[in-house]
Amino acid sequence: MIKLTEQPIQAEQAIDAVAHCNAGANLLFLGTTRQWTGDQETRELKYECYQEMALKQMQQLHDQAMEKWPLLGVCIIHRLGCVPVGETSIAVAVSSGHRQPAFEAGPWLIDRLKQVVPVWKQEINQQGDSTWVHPLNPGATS
Amino acid sequence: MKINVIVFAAVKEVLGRERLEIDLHAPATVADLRQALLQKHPNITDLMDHCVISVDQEYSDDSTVLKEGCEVGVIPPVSGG
Repeated sequence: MIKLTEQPIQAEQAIDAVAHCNAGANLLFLGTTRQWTGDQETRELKYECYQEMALKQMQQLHDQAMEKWPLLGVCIIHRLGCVPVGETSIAVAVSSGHRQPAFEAGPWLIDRLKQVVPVWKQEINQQGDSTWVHPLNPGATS
Repeated sequence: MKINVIVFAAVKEVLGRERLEIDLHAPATVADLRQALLQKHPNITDLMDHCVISVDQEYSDDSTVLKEGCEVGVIPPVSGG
């Protein structure tokens, strides 16, 4: 399952999407908005994307992961718009017969997503000032 | 030929809009488009140094040939997740 949504992400949505009767391992990653990054306090993150291309890239990551590992399910959900502190901006879930493929595919998916999927975030601080987050200047998520 | 260009994030903010149309003489490549874009909008020169270009929603390089009516995206460093 691949999805972009402006609605809050429920963890169950992602893990339910990869449920399979032959799964012995179900792995879930949630990226959430962090309040403090060093001495910088974040109020919320605001995401925008190039929707058509983001969906295409997410689907390619899904397909590549399914080819690289013996997975039973892959789910990537990315939230758009404002994501307040503590809420989830990204959910990645994978399932497999045994735990090793899931433990390898999960980090690969989130790392690749951060490199290739055209999504951008602005960090909004407590004063309401916004800054585009650059990979060289990481923002308030993992 | 007319090329439809979509810009995002900081580039969109500087230009004040999301969609542009650039006129190029065929045959033209991504490198030609970059040059034309900077001639028309020199204020995005610094940002463009860090941007990659997509053609019809696929990443491209400077040698990619553009076709009439294709959709070009100006992609600043991504920061999803």
